[in-house]
Amino acid sequence: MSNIYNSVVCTFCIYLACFAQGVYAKEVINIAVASNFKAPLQTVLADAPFIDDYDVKLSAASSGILYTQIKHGAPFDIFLSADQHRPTQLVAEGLAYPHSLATYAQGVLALWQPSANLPNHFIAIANPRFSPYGVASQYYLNKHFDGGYKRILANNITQAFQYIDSGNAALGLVALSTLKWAYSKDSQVKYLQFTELPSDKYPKIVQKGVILKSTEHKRAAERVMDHLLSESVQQRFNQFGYKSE
Amino acid sequence: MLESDFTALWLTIKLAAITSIILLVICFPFAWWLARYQGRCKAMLEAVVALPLVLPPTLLGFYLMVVFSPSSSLGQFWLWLTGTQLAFSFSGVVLGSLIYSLPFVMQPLLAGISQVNSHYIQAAQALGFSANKRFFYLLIPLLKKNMLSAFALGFAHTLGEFGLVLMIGGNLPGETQVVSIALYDHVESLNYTAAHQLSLILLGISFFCLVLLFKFNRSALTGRNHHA
Repeated sequence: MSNIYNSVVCTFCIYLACFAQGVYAKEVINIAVASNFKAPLQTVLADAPFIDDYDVKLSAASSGILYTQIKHGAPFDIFLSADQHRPTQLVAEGLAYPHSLATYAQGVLALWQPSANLPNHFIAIANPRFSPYGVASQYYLNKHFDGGYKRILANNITQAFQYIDSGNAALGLVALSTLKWAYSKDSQVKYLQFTELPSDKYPKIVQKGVILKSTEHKRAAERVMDHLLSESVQQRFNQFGYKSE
Repeated sequence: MLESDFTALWLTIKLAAITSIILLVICFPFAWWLARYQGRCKAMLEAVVALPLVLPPTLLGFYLMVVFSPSSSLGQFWLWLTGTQLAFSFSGVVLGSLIYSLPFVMQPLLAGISQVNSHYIQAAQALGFSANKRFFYLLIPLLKKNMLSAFALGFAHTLGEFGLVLMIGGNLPGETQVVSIALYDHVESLNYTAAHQLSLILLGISFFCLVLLFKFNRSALTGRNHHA
């Protein structure tokens, strides 16, 4: 009797050990990602070849907040910023590996006016003070667009989209990726009423990423970065409304 | 300090003052009624009043933006009422702040009113004081401290308002760019020096408000009213 009991307990313990090993042996990779890139990143990570080896966790916030958190010791391994300025600055400050600095995506601007009859004279753009989409939008409006609209500065490129989507702004400059994402969620026709702006009409919207020096999983982080920069993944980013370099 | 920061500071003080005055006017009769009301919906009404304490301000802002969008009937009504659409306008931010700071004005008033001894009212009635007279000569003096607390708390709470304005404001200087938004802008654009300066000023003003409140109004805040 006690033999059976022993063997049952033993088997159970072995299973438990295997299971625990399976769970806890996974290396945890923390990625700090700019909010506007969280959805595409999640999609490509879902079937990445290393998904069984690593437990990838995403922390999404604005690039400015993530940068501040990293400077104050936040435990991230990779930082995917919505601009090139902050990752470059982290390298300059000695907080990130210089060789890891890479452009993982480029943003594409679209002029979006969902309805032909304008409810008001507001045009929404991202804030040029801290959003590279905003810088590009402002440049474009100043050079190529004179509609006599009042500019509304959204906190980020997604909020510019929301201002227009909710009907509070008549039109605006938004990210092509946001429009595509919205269309993939619920195929409303209004998400197709946009004009993609020619890329030579505004400064490049370069999104760069780096591996942080505080990482304890440098090799794993490099593998994740290499994957993001691989041709197949870059092509998928293109389908999401980004441009590869 | 930047000129835009002064504009933001002044706008914030204006917003806080307007919000707390309007709230005081609206809340007084409502609190008076609610304190006396003993019906079965009392708990529900009190919960509604306290809801803005619990709900995230961004949520409030988001739904205000959606519900008052110019294409909706409520949005049309707002346009007719104020001449501007709710989002991206000062009046819209005021409406948001009214909801956001409501509990902070209601609570001190409710606490005060429920402690007013009903014998005073009855005595005044027996002396033939009209309702108007009772209000101005009895209630206002009795509740002066509570009203001051209500005003100060509403004012101080509106000073720090952020999430709601971030949602519906649109960052227009002099119109919707309040101090908290200006601060956020500074931090986001890595302009830490400006952020520190502005924070310090905001800290000073808020601290000053609260010191005044606690110095002159201790009993009203803690609910230990001995006068009634």
